[in-house]
Amino acid sequence: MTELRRDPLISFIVPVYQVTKDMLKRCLESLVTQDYQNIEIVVTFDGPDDDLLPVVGDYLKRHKNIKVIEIEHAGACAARNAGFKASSGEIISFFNSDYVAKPGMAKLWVDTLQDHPEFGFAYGAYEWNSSNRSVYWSKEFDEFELTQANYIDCGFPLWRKHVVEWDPEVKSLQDWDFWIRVVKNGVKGYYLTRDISFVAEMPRPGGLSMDSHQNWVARVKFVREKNGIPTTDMVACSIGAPFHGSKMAQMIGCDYDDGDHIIMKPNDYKALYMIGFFMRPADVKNMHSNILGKFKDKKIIIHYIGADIYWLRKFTTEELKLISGVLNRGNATVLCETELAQKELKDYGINSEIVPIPPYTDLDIKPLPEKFSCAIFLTDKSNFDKYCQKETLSIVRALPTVKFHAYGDACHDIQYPNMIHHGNMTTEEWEKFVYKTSSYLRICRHDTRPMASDEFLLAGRDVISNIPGIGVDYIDTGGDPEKMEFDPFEIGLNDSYWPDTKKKIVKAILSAKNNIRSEADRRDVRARLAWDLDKQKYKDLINSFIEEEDKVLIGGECGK
Amino acid sequence: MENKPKISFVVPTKDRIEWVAECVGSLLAQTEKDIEVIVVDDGSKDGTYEMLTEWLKDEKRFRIFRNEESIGAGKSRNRGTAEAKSDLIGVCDDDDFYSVNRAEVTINFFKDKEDKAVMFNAPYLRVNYTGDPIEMFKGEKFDVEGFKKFGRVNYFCHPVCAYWKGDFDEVGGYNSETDKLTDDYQFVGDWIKAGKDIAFEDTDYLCFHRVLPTSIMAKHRGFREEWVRGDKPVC
Repeated sequence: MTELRRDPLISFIVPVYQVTKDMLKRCLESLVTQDYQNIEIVVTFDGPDDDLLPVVGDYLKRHKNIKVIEIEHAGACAARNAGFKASSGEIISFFNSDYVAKPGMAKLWVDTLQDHPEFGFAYGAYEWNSSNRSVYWSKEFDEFELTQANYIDCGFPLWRKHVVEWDPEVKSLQDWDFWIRVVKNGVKGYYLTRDISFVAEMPRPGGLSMDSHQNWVARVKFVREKNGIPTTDMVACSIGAPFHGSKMAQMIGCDYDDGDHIIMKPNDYKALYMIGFFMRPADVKNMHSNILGKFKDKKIIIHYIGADIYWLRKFTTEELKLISGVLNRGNATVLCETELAQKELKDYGINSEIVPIPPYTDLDIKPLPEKFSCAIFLTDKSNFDKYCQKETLSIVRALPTVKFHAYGDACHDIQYPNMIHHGNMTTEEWEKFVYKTSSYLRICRHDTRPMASDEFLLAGRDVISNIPGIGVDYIDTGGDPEKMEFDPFEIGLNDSYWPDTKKKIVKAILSAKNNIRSEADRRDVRARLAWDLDKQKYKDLINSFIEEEDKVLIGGECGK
Repeated sequence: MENKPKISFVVPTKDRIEWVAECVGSLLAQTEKDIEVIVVDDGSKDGTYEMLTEWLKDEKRFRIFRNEESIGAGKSRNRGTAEAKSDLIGVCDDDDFYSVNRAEVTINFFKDKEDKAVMFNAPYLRVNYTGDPIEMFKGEKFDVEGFKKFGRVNYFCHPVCAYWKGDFDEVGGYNSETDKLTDDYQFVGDWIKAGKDIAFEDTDYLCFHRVLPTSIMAKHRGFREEWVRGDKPVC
């Protein structure tokens, strides 16, 4: 733990090698003009440079807190190590000489590190000095995902005690190697979310970053092997549900990628496991098709999850023929999670096998809370109200005698006396959340098999949902095929039917409240589900698909 | 003598467990706190009575009465009005909800009209089933002549109305609604016949009105989907 609040010294270690005068000037100017006073700049020349020395000289005259050192040219790693030795700050940033700090950056960093003493470093977004000023946003801290690809730039600050030596043997992806070793010591990073710290120059032609692109596979392998990260044959990827994707990859024991690297860089994987797969007719660029293109001669496993299938409705029959043609090819295996999903896919001409995805939590039956409560999901993560925010909230308003516990990213500004909003949660918080509630309401305009529903059932809670499943108190909102209403979810939510549906939901919740199911009943549901959702079974199944012989390509049978 | 609340809201309800809480909640949340809410449960079988009783067991401003056998919305309004403690009665429907200043605006209107036989009326918004506005009704003064001559109603929003209990008693309250006549239409007819006035105040939208497929309005005029379609919110 750090001491009381004060202004610790922050050292910027700036290695200098072949930058322009303007760049260096820009960099130093952005550092000396920070509104945080207690800073030190250690300019480390990686080999002598008579052109650039005067630039620093100007600053030396005006600022006391600048140090200049010089080593024989040995690369950025050696320069950073030397600069670190010469520095005395409590907080260290290895700040490249072509970076420009944003105003307020140093203060933000120091404040964040002091406000969150349980974190050893802070990191987040930075901007590229490109014409459109594109931003690399980075993502929430996850130790496993750092072993898969780097998302922390070398410039971000850490406490001095956590600094590890830069390894000059690593020719590129040095910062990845650096942060892997920092994190391996049990240090955690604080994600700065929306704050952009600095502007970075685009990789130079002929520079190391460009070379690393060409030799990407070898470079990645070098860093992984050095740090004891096993290489695997399959990479899992999820665009729509990256958090789930990463957890699934860990469950299976394969690599994980959030899409960027397998689209942008070469790879030598044998198989791709796509968790979630959606295409929308209006998408000009679709990441999923880009990724499939990269794996066209390799094994592809596509798992339809969530509301993916919804989007298939929007395609014309001709378009569906193309899509199903690709998916029914020999190198692709299509999976889905329920019989209903399988039937829907079949309607669109796509053959699939049912493999439910098990939750990665280990929830077991625990006593219900004394006072009845109901969990609800509120999310905006869709371009229309697919997860029925408005309908769900109208249920909250209708039932003042029921305590509702909301989670998700939406409706934080809405306050009802009988609702508490918990926002997004970590896995640990989530488990406590499930045990704190007695039931779960999940209504949607389309979905396959919400992991949350399974988790609540495994924990012995009641689930009220318009998505059918084992143990679910099912509210049928499907259409009547006799009336040409084929939609399995949406009809009952339409204006003309909603009053009836609402009544059914309200009654189901009150029934869960007033007629508590026996523990034997709950255990029975759990047992049936647990067999379906066995982790080892899932792992073996997915891995067996990699080994599977390619099915014979049948050109004529593409589509319906 | 017991203190009289400034206004008594009377809510008749029957088998609307999924809507009535929103209505009652909006009344209890009024900026004017000196009010009372009277619910007359017209023989609900869906747990409405039990839910409201459990919810508001500690709410002093709330009272609920129960008809063992259903007697209809109009007669239930009569029962609720008879039980009201205030001289001023606010009309409510169980599937609507109200803006927070309804009581304040209504009480203000009647402040200098203690001896006037007048019914209060104001603009309303039609909302869809999730509560989003879909149509505005700015309203206008009730055309008494048109009503007398042709039975025509140019503008009238019943669930935003308020009147003195004395006038209500003189008119004789509501009759049971029939296949031909709604309770409010009959009541307005009797009100006009008795020579009483209907005022219109250009206030905020005080009532958020919904048409359920089971509502009287839908029964009489045939259910129209544009009454509830929520794809084109107006605000």
